[in-house]
Amino acid sequence: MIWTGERSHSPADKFQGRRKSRVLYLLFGIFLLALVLLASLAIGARTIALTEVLQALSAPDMANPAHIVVLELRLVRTLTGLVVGSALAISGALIQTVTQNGLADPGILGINSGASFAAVIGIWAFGLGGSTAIGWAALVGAGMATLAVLAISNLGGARGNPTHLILGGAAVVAILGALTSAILLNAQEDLNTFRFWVVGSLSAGGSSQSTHILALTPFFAAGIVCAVFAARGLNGLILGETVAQSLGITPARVRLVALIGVASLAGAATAAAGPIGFLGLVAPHLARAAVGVHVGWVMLMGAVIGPVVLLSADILGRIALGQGEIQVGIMMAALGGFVFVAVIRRMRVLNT
Amino acid sequence: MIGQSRHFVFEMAGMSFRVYRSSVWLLTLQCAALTMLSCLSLIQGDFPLKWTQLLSLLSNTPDTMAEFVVLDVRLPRLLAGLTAGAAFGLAGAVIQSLGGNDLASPDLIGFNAGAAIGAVLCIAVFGASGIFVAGGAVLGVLLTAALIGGLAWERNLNPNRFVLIGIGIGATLFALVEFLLTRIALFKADAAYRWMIGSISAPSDFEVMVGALAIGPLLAAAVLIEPYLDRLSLGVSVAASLGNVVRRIRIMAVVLGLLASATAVFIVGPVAFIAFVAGPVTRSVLNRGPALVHSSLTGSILLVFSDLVARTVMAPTQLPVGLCTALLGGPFLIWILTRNAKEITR
Amino acid sequence: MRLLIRAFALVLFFSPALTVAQEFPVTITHKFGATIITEKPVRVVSLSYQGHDNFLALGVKPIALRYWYGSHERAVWPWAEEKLGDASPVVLRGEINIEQIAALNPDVIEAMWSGITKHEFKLLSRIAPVVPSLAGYNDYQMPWQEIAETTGTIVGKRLEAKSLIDAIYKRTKEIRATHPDWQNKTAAIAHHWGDSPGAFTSDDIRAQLLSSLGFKTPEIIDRSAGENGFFMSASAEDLSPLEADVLIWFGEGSSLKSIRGLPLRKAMKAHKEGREIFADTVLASALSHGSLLSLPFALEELIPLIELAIDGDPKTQVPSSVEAKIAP
Repeated sequence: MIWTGERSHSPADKFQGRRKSRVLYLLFGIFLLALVLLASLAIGARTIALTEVLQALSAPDMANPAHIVVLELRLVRTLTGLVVGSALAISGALIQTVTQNGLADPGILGINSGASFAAVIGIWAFGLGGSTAIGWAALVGAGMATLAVLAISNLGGARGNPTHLILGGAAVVAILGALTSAILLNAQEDLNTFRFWVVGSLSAGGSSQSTHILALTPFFAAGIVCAVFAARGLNGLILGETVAQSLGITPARVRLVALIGVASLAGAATAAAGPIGFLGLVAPHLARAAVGVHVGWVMLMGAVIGPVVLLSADILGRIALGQGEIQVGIMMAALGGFVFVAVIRRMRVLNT
Repeated sequence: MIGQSRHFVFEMAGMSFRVYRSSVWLLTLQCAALTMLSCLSLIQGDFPLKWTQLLSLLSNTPDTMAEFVVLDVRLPRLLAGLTAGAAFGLAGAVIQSLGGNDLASPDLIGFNAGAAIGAVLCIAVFGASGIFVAGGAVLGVLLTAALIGGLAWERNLNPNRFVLIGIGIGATLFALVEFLLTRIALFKADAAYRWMIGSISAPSDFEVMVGALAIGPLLAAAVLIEPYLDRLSLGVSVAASLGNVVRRIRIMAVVLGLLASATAVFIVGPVAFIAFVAGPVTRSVLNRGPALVHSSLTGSILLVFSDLVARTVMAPTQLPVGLCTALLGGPFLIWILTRNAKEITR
Repeated sequence: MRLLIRAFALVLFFSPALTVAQEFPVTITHKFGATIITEKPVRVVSLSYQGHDNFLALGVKPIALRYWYGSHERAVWPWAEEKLGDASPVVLRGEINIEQIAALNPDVIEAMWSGITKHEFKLLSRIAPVVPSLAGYNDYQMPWQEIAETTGTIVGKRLEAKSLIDAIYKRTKEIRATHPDWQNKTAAIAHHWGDSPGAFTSDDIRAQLLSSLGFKTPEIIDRSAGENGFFMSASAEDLSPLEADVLIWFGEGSSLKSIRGLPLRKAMKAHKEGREIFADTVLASALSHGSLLSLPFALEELIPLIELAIDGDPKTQVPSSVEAKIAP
């Protein structure tokens, strides 16, 4: 497998002597995040002066359309970006560590495909329309798909083998993709609902988006708890399975906890904003470039840098077209593609 | 066990080929399976034909309806399936063995995404249909591959980079496709969506002809390049002994995979999974070398069989063949995975 | 080139024949050439997504029809149920299945709004005469009047078809005459797909029906149309492009919840003055079908709703909007 995440540090480098610069990077990240959050409240289709934005936050006047936009649309959208960005970044860091593959993405666990499939079933069979309802179906689908991938990758002799996980994921992704298509091909109207959901958006829920995010909180929380519990074990696993075992770590158990974390974080993120690719892939790389490969730090830094990237993409999407917006999933893929290619072109590890 | 008896060598035009008995056996088996599937494809269908009508095709006074159904509807479809399947299988096997990674199949490393963006642009911007969409797709594949190759170039063609950049570019292009689909009228989106799944329900004469003309040279090139590719896959040290040739072989292999992909996409659209599955499945049986020719035959078998299923399982409603390749290929891959881990993950 | 000249010659030769009382054989020239229907067809296959409506309006029950969307048992919508009577035509789903159609042994295959390719046209033509979209129209761009009239030509009822079209025109003229207050007012047909609201431009068939009643599409909607020209998307942050004297919300699928969730909608003039109309799935579909049966249905459904909405008085509530819980 191709482990592209790390430079050629010795294991000792990875854990020592960087604490100070890590804290600095983290603070810088938080500063960036604050800037982006403010920008996200200030920039959009309707031009609203920064002073008015601040006024809306401090002394809201619900008769003023500008205040309605800031409080009911942009604030919710921004918070969604914050939560979804962090969740995807953390789950990306987890899955890359578990599979020891720097190109892994929550998508390979079948999360996006499972969510999409369940969304389509919801739209088609149960007439679901609002993004909230579709979101719940998506969450269930994400969970089921992950379970299926895990079951498949554990069926053979090699339990939890990362390569098995990737291939099992590919198989599940393909099957679910085909089933999704099978339904959409015979239902043009459902294709219409689906084609707008699948591009991913931080504001699809309209004014019900905030309650939707609140309702998803337990899943985000559960995911973070899993991530925290898995972090120590995963750090051990980076050193190799035998070393890890000598440290008293049970690799299979650590991987399982981490994968449950991935599923609930990425699943809830997909439920909140539709499938958004590339962030789970790119954010951990950016985080690692700043704080090294310590899993806990990567997740912490990712949780900060993820929303920065996601919201920046969203803001660009709001102003890229004169009229109308480009959905955040699209912007993310376009930007993520550049970053991804740049990262690969810089890597010397790949020479053969 | 006894080394010599497992293969024999024959020479042609200054090159020697080592032919293994197991290869010959597999080849025979595959040809038999293809013959059987082909006959079934010609006989089976939604238009009820009597045996007498079928047999009249062999006589001087063929039944007109049988002639239409068998020769003009079923035969082009079969030919499209055979050639496109073979081209997909070949493309997959070549790129996989070049990348040394089964995940490096052309459908996963951006070729299908390139085809999709080319086709969807044609549908969205020019309102094109039929052959022009296929042409746009081929252009899309070629341009995408050129872009990926250009980005991956570093004094040499680095296969790993090629694969990784391909995955990245592919994901980006697919997002653009999804975006385009939200910007066009629903009917165009529907047409684009159908095309992207892939279908051979009514291939045009030109598509069938392209397939028939291209598949021979493609397979011949595969036979020629296979021994070199085999040696490359043995590792860097062996490859290094080949010296300067390495670069040339890699480029030729990429071009071959590209042409095969473009051919297949032109005929049936970006059908999923054939390119991905054909190679690993074949190698899990043969257990030796890149197995290019065998893989392409496996591709043919898979595509023709999938099409047979696609048009019978919910008859008279036809499913697009791309749907069945994924529905059959996916579980098959899972079965292989659970049965034997090593052979497929290499 | 030679083919083009020949096709052209055919037009010259046959078009006079089309204007007088109809007799078979008829020749219809179209984007793939010309099709000759030698005698009055009995077994009709309708491959257009809404083609069966037009046949049924002319009293012809197709032996097979194409499924478009919705969950109606025989794949026809409420306005066509009655005309279909107790017939249950074969419902063609998914890809066009040449063999299935061949087995139906049709006399004619109508495919003006089906998106068939030239190759499919050639294959189908081996089974029976096929009528694809007429020359000059891309897939799904043929206007409803021409589809309806050509449908009449196919089954030897062109004059009947014309009179049905004229009846719709007459009805719209009547509506214009009885509603002078509608003339030159603006009407927007808005939708909510995904995360953004939007509206159909004046090129869209649904907006065109409203323009036949005297309404105009707000200019800003036409100005900001996307790549396809049929619809534009706005932002939830600024709903001003959708402001109109009558605002019809398209509730197809289940976008109602998203429409309700637009926080700025309540600040819209159209909302405050009770100018919003909610078009439920059936009404929206009737407008989209654009057939001889669906258009009269849509008109009769819409008129009382428009009357209640256009007065700008929130007290005269629009029932469909009240039912959808979007009324002020």
